[in-house]
Amino acid sequence: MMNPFDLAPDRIAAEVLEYNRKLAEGMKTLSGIGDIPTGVSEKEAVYREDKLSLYHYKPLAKKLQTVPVLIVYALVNRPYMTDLQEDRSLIRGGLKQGLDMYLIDWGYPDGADRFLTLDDYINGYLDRCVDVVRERSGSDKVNLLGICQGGTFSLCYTSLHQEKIKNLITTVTPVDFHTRDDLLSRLARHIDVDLAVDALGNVPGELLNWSFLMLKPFRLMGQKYLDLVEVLDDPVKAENFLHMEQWIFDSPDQAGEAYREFIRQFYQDNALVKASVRIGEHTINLENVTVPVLNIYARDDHLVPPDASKALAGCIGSQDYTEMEFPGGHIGIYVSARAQKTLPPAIAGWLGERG
Amino acid sequence: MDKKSNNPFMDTDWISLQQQYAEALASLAPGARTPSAPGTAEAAWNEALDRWWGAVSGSLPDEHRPVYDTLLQQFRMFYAIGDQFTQMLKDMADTGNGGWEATMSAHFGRMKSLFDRAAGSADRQSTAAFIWPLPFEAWKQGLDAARPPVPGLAGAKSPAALYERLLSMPGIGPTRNIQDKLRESLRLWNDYLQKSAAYFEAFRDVGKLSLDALEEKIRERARTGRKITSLREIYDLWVDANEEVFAEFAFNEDYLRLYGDLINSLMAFRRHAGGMLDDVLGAASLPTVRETRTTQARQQRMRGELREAVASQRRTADELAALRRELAELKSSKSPAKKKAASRTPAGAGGKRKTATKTAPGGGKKKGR
Repeated sequence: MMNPFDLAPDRIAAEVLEYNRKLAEGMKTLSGIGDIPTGVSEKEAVYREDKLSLYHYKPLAKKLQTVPVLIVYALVNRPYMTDLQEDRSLIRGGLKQGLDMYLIDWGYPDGADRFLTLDDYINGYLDRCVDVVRERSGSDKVNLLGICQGGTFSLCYTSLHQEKIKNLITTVTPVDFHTRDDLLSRLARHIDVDLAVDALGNVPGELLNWSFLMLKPFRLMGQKYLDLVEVLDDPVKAENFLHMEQWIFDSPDQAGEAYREFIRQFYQDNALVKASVRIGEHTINLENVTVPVLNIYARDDHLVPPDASKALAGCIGSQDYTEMEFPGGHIGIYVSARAQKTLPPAIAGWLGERG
Repeated sequence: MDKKSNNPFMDTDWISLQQQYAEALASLAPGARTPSAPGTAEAAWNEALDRWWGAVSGSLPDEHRPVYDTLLQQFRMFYAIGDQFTQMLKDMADTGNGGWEATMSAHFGRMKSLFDRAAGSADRQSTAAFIWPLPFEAWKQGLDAARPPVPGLAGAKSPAALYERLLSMPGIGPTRNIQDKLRESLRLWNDYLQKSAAYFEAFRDVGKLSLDALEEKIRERARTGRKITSLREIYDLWVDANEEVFAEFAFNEDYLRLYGDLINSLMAFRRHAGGMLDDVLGAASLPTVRETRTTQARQQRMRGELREAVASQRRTADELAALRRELAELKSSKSPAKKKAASRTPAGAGGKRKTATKTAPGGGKKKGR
């Protein structure tokens, strides 16, 4: 076999010097990038409660669909990922498609929120937000769009309050937490969550960040930054990187009790697919969900593997179930160029067909 | 022709090439000192990077500094890999095309021996950090994120250092009680150290497997005739090899238990240390975490009860309103027009009427109210 290495010392030195040149040039690029905004579309806070804010986005289309869309984000990370930049915004895309959009921003929990439960979040905050949207829009029902854990919350909510829901969209939403390739779930199984919550109170956002990075430490903590150097001389690409970087490390703490319940019931017991999740006094049975459902999952998602989302098909009672695969990862489904072209029209079209 | 003279690495004074590189890098930062002659290639690169960064870092906005800190960290990793492979390429050039595989295997064997040496090292975490820094760096961040109650706890590597820190807290309260709690804290910290040693020990074996995987990827390139033409390609292959091996390792039940044990042992210590801190705060008549959480839990319960009470009151109000409406309807049915209509109704034909009149035998007008 021929030696595959085709490298000479002067080329190695030139390569290293080139990287360093870009690193040096990158200082100028970064110095020219000011503060990174968190969200770009115009919005108005129409309801606040504790740390929560419910936002209504200013419509961009002349003709709006009559039933509003309420986006339910996860408790983990921040919802401005859906509105990251002018050309990377699911919100903006939806507004242009004529959707009347609202979004729940859960805020940054602190010690005062230590004992919030999933019941408080789902049957409390979320339910009140749904009522506000119904009242403001004059529509008896709303369309729910859940993102990741927000999708799981939306499923639980719909199973209990379906009379308020017209259509349900779940995106990168875990339903079966014990699929074969779900590393995050496996890592959670041997954790004494009672001990962790008793020790920490609220669970620090940084700890969650760390657990996500540890799924692919070499790519996410190493290679990614060398990739950045490659584009540091391009202000647009550098700014794109910084937008994502800011969002990735902007992680709220998790209210202790809600975290305890979610990890135990969903990650450890996998109770959602067993119809045994308890939210307050209610048991969640996804068979009660009979509204139309659009389930979008990401083909290359390592946080919520496709099978974890696709399990929804076998759980709900709806006769109108649509699945959509997006060729990308857990975050790419919202921020990639392909996502901007495909997702908003697909969502708007599906909703439009169902009034 | 002498084999050595065909070796581009032998004909080049590699160290002086590094010196030239370092000077070129320094020239990018006006005012930076030209570095002195380096001892090793990697040291030269790192030294040059440090000098350059020292000269220019002040001009970078604060909000972007963490990104650059991370970039430089990865650069050093890139240099380290580059240096390792440069040494190997130099040896390969010496042996010629026929001996490149043996040279590569020998080189990888030396790298794997670093992991074996780590097993005998008293400071396994530091050695692991050197060999496989990324998982170790990730764990350090995780440890900091667990917000230890004693400042600098993450840096306390030995029970003695920890004991000293804990004993620096004021000794208030019964001595015996504190001694028991200190002993328990030492036991829990020792347990954590053992669990973390076991965790990083597992990475030692995985590190060697990742080198095997990288070597195989290079052989695959040779088999398929694809050339490796840059350090970046080597780095990317290194990342791919590590991620593949790590993924397989991470799905293993043994690793999952080690991971769980590590987290649980840290949380057990964290909980105990938090309790001890509360004892000190309580003795100083300051609010404790325990008290605050009790208050928060009660407040949360009261909010729930209040909401239920308000909801119940609304339901009662709604019922009352409905009853009032029904009553109003009933009352309105007693209006004169309706009564007249009711009076024409044959006796017994229906409708309830509260009247005081009686029907006279054989007819007669009915009197009613």
